Amino acid sequence: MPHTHAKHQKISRKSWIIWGFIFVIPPIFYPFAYYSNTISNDIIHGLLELWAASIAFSVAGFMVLYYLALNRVFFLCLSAGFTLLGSENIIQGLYIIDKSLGVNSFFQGIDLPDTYIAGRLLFTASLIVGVLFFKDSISPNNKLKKVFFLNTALFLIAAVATLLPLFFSFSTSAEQNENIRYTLLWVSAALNIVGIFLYIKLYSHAKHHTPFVWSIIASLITGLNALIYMIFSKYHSDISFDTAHILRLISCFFPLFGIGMSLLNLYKREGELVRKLSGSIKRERDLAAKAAIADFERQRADELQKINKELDNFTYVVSHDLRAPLRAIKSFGSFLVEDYKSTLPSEAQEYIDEICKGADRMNTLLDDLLTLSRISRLNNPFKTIDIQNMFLVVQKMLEFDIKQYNVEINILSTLPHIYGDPIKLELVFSNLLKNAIKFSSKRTPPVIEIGYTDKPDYHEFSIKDNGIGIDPKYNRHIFELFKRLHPSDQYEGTGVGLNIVKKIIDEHKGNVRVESEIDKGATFFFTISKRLDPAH
Amino acid sequence: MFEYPENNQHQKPIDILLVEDNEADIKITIRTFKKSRLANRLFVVRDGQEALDYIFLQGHYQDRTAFPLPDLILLDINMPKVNGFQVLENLKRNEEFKYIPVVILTTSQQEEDIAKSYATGACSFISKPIGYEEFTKKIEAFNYYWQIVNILPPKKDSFHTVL
Repeated sequence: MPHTHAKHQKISRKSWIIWGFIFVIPPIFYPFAYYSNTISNDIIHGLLELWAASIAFSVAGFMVLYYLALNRVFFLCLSAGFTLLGSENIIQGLYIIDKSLGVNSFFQGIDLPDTYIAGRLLFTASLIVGVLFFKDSISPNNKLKKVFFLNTALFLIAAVATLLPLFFSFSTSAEQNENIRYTLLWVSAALNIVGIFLYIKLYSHAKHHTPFVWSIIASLITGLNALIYMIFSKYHSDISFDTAHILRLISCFFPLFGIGMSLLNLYKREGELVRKLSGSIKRERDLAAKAAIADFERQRADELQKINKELDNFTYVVSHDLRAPLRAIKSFGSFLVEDYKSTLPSEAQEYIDEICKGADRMNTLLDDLLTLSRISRLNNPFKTIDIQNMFLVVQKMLEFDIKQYNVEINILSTLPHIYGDPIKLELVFSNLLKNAIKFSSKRTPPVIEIGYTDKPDYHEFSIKDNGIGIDPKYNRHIFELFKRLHPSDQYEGTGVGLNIVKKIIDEHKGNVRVESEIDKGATFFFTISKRLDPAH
Repeated sequence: MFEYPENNQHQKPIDILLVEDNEADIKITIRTFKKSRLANRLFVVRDGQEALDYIFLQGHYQDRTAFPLPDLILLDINMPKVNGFQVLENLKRNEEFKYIPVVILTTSQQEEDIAKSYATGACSFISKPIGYEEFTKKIEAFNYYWQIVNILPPKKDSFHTVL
């Protein structure tokens, strides 16, 4: 984006130079030419008319831009006025040059001097209509339709007035032409007076204090003066005639100046507004995008929740319904041994034994699955838990195994009070301790160390054993469901325990990892976020 | 396992209604009861609807002498047609039969099931273990408690005379 922006600025700077040439050079050049008598006055007059035309057209263009930007019909009306003024200037300029050079072909036999008055008339009319549009924009309850109708009527009158002298110049006598010319001049002067009155009212009463409005007032006043001079000019190129032209030119400059000032103001004020607006549009777009994304995420979350719930239900039902046949297998196996012990060959007894063992293993698996589905389904209220105390309870629960393998358990630092789900956290400690006991059970003696570090944002616990260890390449996989690294006849287990641990730790906004090497024991680290604690 | 008091001769064997839909479970339970020392009478119905019929003397169970009112009901939860909770609710709503103690005997160990059972009016909740030995121990303890430790409400007929 910055690239195109720079490019745009470059172009606009270039266009300013062109505008400068159009607006500044002729007013300096023409008086010089006029008084140095190098070129005939008529040609200068013609050139000035052409120059005025170019200005009128450029103003008309500005007005269209204004209209497009602000969407006020007033500017379109002004633009039309300036366009007509420019057209009149072109015809007038070409006519004068043509006439003075004497090589007339196009305008031969046509007398056009009065079209310029009609053009001024039209221009003045459009300025007056402009007031009405301004008034509309000031008081919103004003009826736009009425104003538009008025404008159209005035415009039509002005257009007819422009065409009338053209019509009469073909058919009527010079005297009649002169009469029409005077009538138009007086009408134009009267319109100018009305315009001045309206704009002053607009300026003072409606508090529309923009440079544009006072520049139009100034333009109308100088225009009025020009008309008066024009009325009193007795013959072509007398002092009144020249003064009228100069005043007319000046009057044309005033709105230009006013437009320039207004544009500058507009750019200063509205530019900020436009930037703000575009900024807010962007912000809104961002917000809308965010809302859409949030919506999408919510939908996804809902879907996921539904799927998870279904999965949990499935696990629950499966674990439940699998238990009954399992019970039958185990029980009837036992009955068989109990009732027919004497008649059963030892091999058959062994088989039945294997069946029962299989049923037992499956039962443990079901138990773990049920726990897994339960921890996803149930959320116990969080509260502050004395971990030291909880760990002692867990140790008591596993006392049988601890005594059996003569496990030495060392708590390296006092365990803290933390905020969390008491039932689930107990499951974490019991699962990790069970794990540590299981894999260090073949050492003499098995040593387990419990560590704790108080970090700024979280609690970190560690459970270290001197067991068989884990190959580091499995470090990340051991928390996956049903992941087992050892055959079940060496170390019992279902591969659910660590997955349960991970799930619970995730719920506590912490993470769990393992550091280990083969035959060098393993240390499980897990963290619990302190941010969950409302007191924190 | 349990040392029964010597003077338990005057204790009548209690009538138990077993509500259980699983054939294998029925067999296991009957066998386990038979093995325990006290000869309780065990009546079996296959689902919740049958259990209600039995108690309210409906359908096949119109003869109270053949199908005596139980002292205790062993009730499974997950059953087709009418489940354990519905049986329990119906029973507890009835003025005549709401005093009959109901013990839940199920494979479920879910906290929701346990809580709901007690809330609906069950006296006890026993989960069926996988292992036969463990189950035998539980049934022995059950018998010891309900027959020796606990005093059951009087049976319906005498119940009214007491009142």
